[in-house]
Amino acid sequence: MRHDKSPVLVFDPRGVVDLAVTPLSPRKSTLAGLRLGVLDNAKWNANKLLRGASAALGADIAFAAVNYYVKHSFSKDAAPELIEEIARDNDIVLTAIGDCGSCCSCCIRDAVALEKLGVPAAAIITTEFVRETQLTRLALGVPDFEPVVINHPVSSITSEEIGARVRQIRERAERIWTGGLID
Amino acid sequence: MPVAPARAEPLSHDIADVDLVELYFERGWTDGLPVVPPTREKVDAVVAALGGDPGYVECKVAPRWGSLTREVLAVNMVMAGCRPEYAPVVRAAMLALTDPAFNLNGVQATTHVAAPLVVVNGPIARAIGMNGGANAFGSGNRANATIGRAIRLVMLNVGGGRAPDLDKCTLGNPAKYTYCICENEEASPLAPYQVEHGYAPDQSTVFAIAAEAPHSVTDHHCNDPEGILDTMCSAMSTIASNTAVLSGHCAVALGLEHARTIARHGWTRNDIKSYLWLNSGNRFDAHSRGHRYGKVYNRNLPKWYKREPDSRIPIVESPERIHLFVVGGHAGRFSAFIPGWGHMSTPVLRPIDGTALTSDGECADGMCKL
Repeated sequence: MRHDKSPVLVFDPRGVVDLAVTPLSPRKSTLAGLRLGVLDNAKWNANKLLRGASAALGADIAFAAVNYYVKHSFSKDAAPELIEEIARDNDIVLTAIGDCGSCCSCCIRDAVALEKLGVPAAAIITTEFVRETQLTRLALGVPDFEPVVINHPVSSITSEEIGARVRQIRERAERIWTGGLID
Repeated sequence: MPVAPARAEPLSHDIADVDLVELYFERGWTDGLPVVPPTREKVDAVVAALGGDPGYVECKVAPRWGSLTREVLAVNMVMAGCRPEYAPVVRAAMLALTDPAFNLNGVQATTHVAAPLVVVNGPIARAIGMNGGANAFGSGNRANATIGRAIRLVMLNVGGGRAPDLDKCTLGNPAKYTYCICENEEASPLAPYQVEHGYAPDQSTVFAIAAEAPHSVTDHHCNDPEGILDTMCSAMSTIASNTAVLSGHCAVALGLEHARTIARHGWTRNDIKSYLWLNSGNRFDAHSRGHRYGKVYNRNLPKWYKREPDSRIPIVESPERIHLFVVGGHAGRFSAFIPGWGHMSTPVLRPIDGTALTSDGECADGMCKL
């Protein structure tokens, strides 16, 4: 029983987020002649999806090179050395696949790490993880970051279904790299 | 780094005007159960137990990356129902969870059911009245329940790991309310876990592993180590767990009756873990489903595993990745297997309040420390 008149306090249990908003890396005016880095997170079907997408993009765009990388674990961030190597040897990046909670988070984190090193990065996620991506990019201080969203699921689909996903990736990735999605 | 203290918002001057329990629900700050409304006095008592300096940032908590100051930790501990003397354990657990090796970002976000299991060893467990005996994983003990709950409240509130947004867990798991025990060191016939890992028996530690719930292992009639451990191997040898698919680490909670039978035959921790490792696992053909859905390699398994149909795929990469604890009450021939999340998270063992590691490098089994 309180008898004094000190105020009733409400304590916020969330703690502050020490956040600095970071702009995205500069977009590319043209894609021809650029080096495309492809970062595979080793999740089921990421390989088929990325090889299909980079082949489809390569049919439209005369890339100077397409470099393929695989990270060790889909549920962990790529090693900083790998991110630095990709940023050093490439002008734009395509990465996949964010089709589970931890893989989506880490996929976005890898892409944002590349953006912070000056490389426009298109991260492919599935429809089920749009909301998680929105919150993750806010937590990372890059509210302008836009993912490539394709239909869920990915890990259990057939080759024909992968073809349909590849078509979804193609146009959206180009627009991310060139700034076509940025208002 | 300057960080503002926890916001303490003044409401009414009359407690009768405010239903604080409902207010914390309305703000979205609970785990779904009512919380203890923090007061200035209760928060300050926990901050004092943490060493004062309420603005000191102990760690940042993924995936929201909120700053866990001592005051914010104290607020969440009071909400969970903790006593101030639990503070060193909760802090050590949060430092273990935010060790980069643990990958809390992934643990929070995953669609898998994993929750951090925290196991406390050493004298502090007894000092604060933790339960490693009967019903250790169950309800009824304030320290177990509220330490685990405080960890979860920090993960929810500071880490932002709320479903269905940043916690994408498909099914959830009752262990996502609270999942904290101690080893039953007093009754165990084996060396305690922390001693096996190079700490002295009078040093207190926390161990954290991203894990599924305990899976019961029933064996009422085997009276030797091989028989009991073969039953455990049966529980371990499934292709359905994340441990099977993604390797990593797992835990075994050996019940007292089983542990005593095994120890009577002179078996040590190392013997038990080695036997379990050698006699569990699956054929690669079971992993790959005979390549029915396309050629399977499974890059999540160590590259040095042979991948022929009859190749044995161990449940984890080595016996050291089976974390063995003696847990439970005196009666009942039950143990439990606790699969992990996978190689994406490495379990963390750390001292509570800076007790030093004193490994002599010659005590692989821990027993020589006793």
